[in-house]
Amino acid sequence: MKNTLFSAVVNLDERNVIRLTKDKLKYGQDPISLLDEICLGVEEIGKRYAKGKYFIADLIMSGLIFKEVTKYICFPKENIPALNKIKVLFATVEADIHDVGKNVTIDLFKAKGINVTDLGVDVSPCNIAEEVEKQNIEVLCLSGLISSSYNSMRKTIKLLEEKQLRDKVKVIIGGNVDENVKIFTGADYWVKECTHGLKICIELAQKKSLVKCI
Amino acid sequence: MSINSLSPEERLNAAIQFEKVDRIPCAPLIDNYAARFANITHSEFFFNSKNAFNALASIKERYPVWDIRRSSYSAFYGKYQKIIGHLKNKLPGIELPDNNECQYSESEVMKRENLSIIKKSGYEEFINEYYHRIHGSLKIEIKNALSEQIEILKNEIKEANRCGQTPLYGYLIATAEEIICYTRSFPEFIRDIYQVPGLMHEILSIVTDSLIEITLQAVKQTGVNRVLIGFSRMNGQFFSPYYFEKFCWINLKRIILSFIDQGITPVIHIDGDWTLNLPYFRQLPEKKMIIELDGNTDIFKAKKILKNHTCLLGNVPSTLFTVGTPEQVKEYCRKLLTKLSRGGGFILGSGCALPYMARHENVEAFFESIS
Repeated sequence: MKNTLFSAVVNLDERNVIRLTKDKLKYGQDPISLLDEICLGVEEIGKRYAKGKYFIADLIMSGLIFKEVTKYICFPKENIPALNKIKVLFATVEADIHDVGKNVTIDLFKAKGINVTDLGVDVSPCNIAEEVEKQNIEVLCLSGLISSSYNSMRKTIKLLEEKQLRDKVKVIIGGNVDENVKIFTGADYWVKECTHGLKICIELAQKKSLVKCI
Repeated sequence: MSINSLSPEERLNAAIQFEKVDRIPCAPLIDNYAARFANITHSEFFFNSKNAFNALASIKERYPVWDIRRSSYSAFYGKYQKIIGHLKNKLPGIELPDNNECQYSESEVMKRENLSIIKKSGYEEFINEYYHRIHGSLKIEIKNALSEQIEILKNEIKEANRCGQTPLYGYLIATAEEIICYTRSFPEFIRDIYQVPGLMHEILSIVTDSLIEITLQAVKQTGVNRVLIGFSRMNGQFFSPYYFEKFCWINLKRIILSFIDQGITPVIHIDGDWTLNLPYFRQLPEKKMIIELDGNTDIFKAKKILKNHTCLLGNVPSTLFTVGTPEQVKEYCRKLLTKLSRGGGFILGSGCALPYMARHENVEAFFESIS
């Protein structure tokens, strides 16, 4: 593989990705086309993951590289690529502060160009519902690891119903969850792995034609 | 063989060695639920070992079939969580309401350059610095907490025996990569092993040596030759076989073989999906260890992979205890008992910890499945 930005991303070679990005910016490459090139690399990593050639750690590493390299790329807000238009909100629910899985998932979403708002940990149902309403959120990702988080997820979803927001938002729960927890909480989907959450989110976005291509 | 003709210790050893048992040993990891069962607060449980042991004894009294005391109480005892707890935490009765569950958060506390402390001054110096950064612990406090931890464990072992149980763990450790991962955070740990593999290989090996030494000393003090080795992250769910072999298996294998060589039974607690990595355990001596599985690894596949080789413990999922029904719990336990007990090498248990919010009727259904 040639020593291109694309290959540096695919090889998860962070130093080279940053060096090449800086060089290209220095020589006047358009930031949007540069970002496209990086996204193509990230996309290739996703394809290799789907084929079983890459693993979640590789996806996490690609997320870290993407996060790092985008610090160097500035472009006007109106030029942000269209794939950012789906509105996704993340929160670890009330009474739970575990966020390793949530943070990794957010990095992956960002590496895919999805625009994410993170409310952090121990977030009350009220705050989540307010934010869903305020931002017209389309996908809500609720995270929880301990058993008391199930009640918080359930309360959050009930509150969305009460506020008549439930039909407007798809709810994905993640962490220590399964089908039983999905039924208990009233969520739409449950995921164990960050990649599964990403896949669902992309499918939802594509159904709503919220993305050109991811 | 008639039921209850074996003592709990004999039954446990028979299961490990795939010999006939009078009934399947029963080993839920029940600490988190015990306070609620005994109607005391979580903080009363975690900060007062007498309360905790009474609570656990009351479960044993209610459910006499519980014969294997599988407890991590000594590792999570409240008083020293702010001194030697592996992660920054919020505890019931301190930052959280009395009845909340303990919570843990992870961040990049130690930087990559700090890993050189391990090379220069050893693991103890590094971990002391880490505890100091997350808890403000002083060296003398750390030393005292570690001694107290052994005392709590010794008391719990005595208490288990008094209740007619046999203790599963004579000491509990996390693996080198798990500990370094806590100190660096999971994403940064991945970055480390991808970008500075030589350094990581070297420091993980040093930490592994220290953990073996610490464990051998501890087991001499507690007198129970079984050690929990807990870890969750370095598996096929996250890492390729290349990284697993180079950074996890090489050290895990060394720890396990060292313990077996010293007559210690390793009890390997693996969270997450380990299906891809289970065949590696066949490289180790057969019938010398236990593997504890949570609900994420398919225990029925595990049985096929490790048939006649390694005793399995598990794996009623925590979600089933919390939001399932007694019928679902009984059905799952029945499936476990029917499919896994054939040929020996099985212990019924919860997959990881039986949760605080478990429904009482589901816990009852779990124990009744053995009865």
